[in-house]
Amino acid sequence: MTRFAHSMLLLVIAACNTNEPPVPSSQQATALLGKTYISPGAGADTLNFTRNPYEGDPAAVTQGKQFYTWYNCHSCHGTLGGGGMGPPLLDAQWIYGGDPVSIFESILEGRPNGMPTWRGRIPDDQAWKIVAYVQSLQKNPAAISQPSRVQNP
Amino acid sequence: MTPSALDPRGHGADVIAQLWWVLLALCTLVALITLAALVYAALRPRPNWQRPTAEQDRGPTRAIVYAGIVGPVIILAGLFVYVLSALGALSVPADSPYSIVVTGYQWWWDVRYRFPNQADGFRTANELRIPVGRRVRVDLESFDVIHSFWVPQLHGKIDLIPGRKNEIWLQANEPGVYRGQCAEFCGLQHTRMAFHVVALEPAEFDAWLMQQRRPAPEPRTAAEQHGRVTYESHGCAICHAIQGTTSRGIVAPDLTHVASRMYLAAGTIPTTRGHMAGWISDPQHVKPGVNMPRVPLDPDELNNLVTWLLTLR
Amino acid sequence: MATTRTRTLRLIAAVPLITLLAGCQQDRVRLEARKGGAPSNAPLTELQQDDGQWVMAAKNYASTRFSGLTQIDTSNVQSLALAWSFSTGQLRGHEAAPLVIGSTMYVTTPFPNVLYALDLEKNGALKWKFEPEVDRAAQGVACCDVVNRGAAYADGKVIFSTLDNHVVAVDAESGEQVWRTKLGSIHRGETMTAAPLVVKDKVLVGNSGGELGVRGWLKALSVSTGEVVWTAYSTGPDSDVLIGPNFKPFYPQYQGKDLGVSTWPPDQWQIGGGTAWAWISYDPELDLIFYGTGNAGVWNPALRPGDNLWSAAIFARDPDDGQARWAYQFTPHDEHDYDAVMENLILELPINGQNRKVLLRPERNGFMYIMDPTNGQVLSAEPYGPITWAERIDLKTGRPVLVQDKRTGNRLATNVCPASPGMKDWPPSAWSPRTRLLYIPMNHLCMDYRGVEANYIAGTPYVGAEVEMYSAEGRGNTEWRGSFTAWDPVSQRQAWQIKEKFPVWSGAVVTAGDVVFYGTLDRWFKAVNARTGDVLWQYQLGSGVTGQPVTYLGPDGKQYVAVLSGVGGWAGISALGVYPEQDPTIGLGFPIAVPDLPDYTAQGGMLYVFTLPGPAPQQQPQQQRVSVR
Repeated sequence: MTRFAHSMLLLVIAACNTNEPPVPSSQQATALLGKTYISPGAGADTLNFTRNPYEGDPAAVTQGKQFYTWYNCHSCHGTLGGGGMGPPLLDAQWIYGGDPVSIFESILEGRPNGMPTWRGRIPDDQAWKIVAYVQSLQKNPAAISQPSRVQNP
Repeated sequence: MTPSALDPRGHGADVIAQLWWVLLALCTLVALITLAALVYAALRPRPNWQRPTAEQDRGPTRAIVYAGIVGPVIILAGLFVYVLSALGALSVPADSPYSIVVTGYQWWWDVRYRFPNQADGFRTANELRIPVGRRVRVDLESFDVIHSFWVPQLHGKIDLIPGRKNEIWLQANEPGVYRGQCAEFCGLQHTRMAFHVVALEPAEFDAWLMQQRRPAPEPRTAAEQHGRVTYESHGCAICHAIQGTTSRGIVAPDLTHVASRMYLAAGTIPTTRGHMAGWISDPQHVKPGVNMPRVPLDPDELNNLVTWLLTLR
Repeated sequence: MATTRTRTLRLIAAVPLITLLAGCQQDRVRLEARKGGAPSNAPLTELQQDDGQWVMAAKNYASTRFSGLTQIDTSNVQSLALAWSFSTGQLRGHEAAPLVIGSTMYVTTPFPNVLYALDLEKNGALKWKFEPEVDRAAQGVACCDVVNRGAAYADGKVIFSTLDNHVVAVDAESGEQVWRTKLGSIHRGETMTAAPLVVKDKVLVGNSGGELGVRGWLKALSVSTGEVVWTAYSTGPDSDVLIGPNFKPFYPQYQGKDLGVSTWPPDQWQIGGGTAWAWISYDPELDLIFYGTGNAGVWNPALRPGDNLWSAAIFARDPDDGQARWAYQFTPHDEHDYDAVMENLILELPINGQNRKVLLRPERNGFMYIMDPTNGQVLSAEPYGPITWAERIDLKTGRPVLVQDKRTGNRLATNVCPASPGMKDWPPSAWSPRTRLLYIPMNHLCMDYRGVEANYIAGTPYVGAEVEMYSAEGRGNTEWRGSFTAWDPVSQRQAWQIKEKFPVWSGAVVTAGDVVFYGTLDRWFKAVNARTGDVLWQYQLGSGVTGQPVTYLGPDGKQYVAVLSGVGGWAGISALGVYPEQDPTIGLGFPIAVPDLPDYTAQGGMLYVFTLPGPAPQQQPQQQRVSVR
């Protein structure tokens, strides 16, 4: 009986933890990244690109897909990142960088050839989730974290 | 005011409550009889029990046949007819020329009044107002997952299922405020997905309709002006909608007349200055996991924004 | 005996006389231009009749795109050869019609909208180029590629629009900017892609952006100063739509007040589309301009119940003050993105045995409309291709009779024909008064269309529909997705048709030599016998053709045919590096219909000019002044 109670307790505690790690703000990310990819002189290897805190997190990817639709990303880039008015997001060609922080920056800063700037309109937390969804588009459909909920058929 | 289905204030709830009481009474009676019989059978003295003869057995057999088969059949048949008539009373058509389209979102209610002349329609959230005595049609749709629409004092539950339209009508017998609740588990904040149905006298209802059709008033003071600028520049305008501005988002509640509603956040907090400021500055604190993000605002911006929003009656 | 001086004087005096005599066979106006002087200031109503020039994108105000030139005809077009070519230095969709004024050709490019002036006396040498410095961010709000459909000429100025909503007037000789006016905002999703039209002293321009919730308008600017003279919106109250006491529509459903407001849910008309992004015609006799308005904004009709006036409609307006004379809505409560911005040809046709002036409109929604241009009555409307969305047009009410199963909204409608680009899209048709046939670049596509919720965010697309297109012959058919058709509007029948692999997305031009030219997305530029439909000549260009071919007389007296190649536009999105097979609804559903386009063409940007080999014919035959009807 006690073992049962203990395992129940553990389950309850686990359920309460909704895995929301602290999120680096865009200002932090910028400070960590710097604006250049080539670092002349020695020391380039010590640059620490921050990872997307939600990378691979299925719940975040699902929510990211929802935001991706709400903010009309799908209408320029395609629901599955196939492209259109904007460049595709499912291939390996990235005009402004394909690592998570670059994608995050592209969303918030906007880009010169028509990517709108979303800073102040999409909160950082939601932007990271969108990045997580975009990252999930890169993989084959048989990926580990694909949004499972089909929106309102 | 704890809404109870046994405190019916509308025609639908009347029928359902009555059905409930009848069933309760009948079932209690049957239960008591059955219990009494059981007790009697268990406690009556049985010295030297002997197998009953066919002669002695006839009485008890008859009792079982009448009380155990014929009786229940008659009672159940009667009940069946009664339930059918109750269902009939519930399926009379609505008698309003307009309909209210309620779309369930996680975790709030989008409410659209649709009139034959579509220019007369408007959008609000989390609060329905109906005139007393009319059966108002409510169409139910869902934006994401299955919700359920339940105003215990006015009617029974009905689900909002994505991809499907359901229909119900609401009729209130007397003016009042009736609380409703989402009755199908729909995610993290299912318990805080309430709404209110306000029944008004017909004249008051017409006045409310006219008010809701008006676009948001222009800001008059400097604080209100700054508040509106804050709204438009901080991404609020992208998800929410306010008639009379360029803000036309559909993924969050319509705020054109937010100050005329009694509650915010789907019936969670009352519409007061303090609650509104608290909600805007940190929605995750009031309803953790809700889709409204925490947007960093400095105190002046927040104050001006709340000042302006409170003018949107 | 005359002195040397007298003789010399006589000789000198004789020169202009001789030149005049030599030129008196030819159009005097053209002679002035040929001398290499400043381009003519003659009114466009005269200039349009000179077949040696191409002074407006549609060739003439009646929009027939017919040239009276006869040098190239069905007997010799087989020998047509490349005279010279010019690289525009840009990629993306080249949709413009080159203009030929005097001995200069003017070409506009897609973003960044460079205007080139090419010297025809020197084989297309670059005279000057004008770079308008267009805001790069405008590329992000162009739904269907960053195209430009050409410039307009008036009064010694070349006038064109830029993607970021400027209208620029450039001196035709020097290339210096004369004026520049900003008319819209990319932050609202507005762009400008259409070729302007100059009528009297005003230049008419419309905006684009019906897929981004932009409210459509047509504006008239002064040709001399660029100031806005009037603005006619396509939705909203009558005062904005310029509907006043002169408005006399034929059908009763248009006789109400502020219909541009009441046929929409509250406020939806402000994001209601109706952009005037393609063609305008003008009839000098009636003194009316005719143009169409685009789709009703959001593609999901469930979000905008009501007729949605005045989207997908045609307006007849007074060019001086913009006041509407009549209007007619081709597709009320548009459910399929049937923009109604196609060309309007002003012709004289025998209707019911009687020759009358008509407005002929090969409409996107699949019906060929013949209308009375004085009052907007629909005289006939017959399908000119496969249609499933409507049974017919009820001529009494003017309204289409819908097929309920093909209605969209929050439901999936399958096998809707024509698909959203319509039976034909903006690529203009041409009319030959000799063969009495209309030559139409067409699509042969059907679609599945489902409306979904759409969140409106200014400056981003506001579509709300998932669309997948395919050949009208069935999904997976890659052999017949477009046609080039010769249509007889009087007998309402097809005279001949060329089936094409891809939708035909170039304009057409037909000549008095009975040759009609058009181009294909798989890079062919074709010359066809206008009477029989035989392909007499074809040439493989560098990239798919989405431009409008033109024909003119060079300074050497030879006839030339010019066309731009450079794949793009809505039809060409699949050649721009996207992935329709992985994501079928991208590009508003078009790329999945033509996913094989990249196998036929890459991007490019080149102007090609063709002519017959050999010198100009000795004798300049009198150019027939063929009536433009």
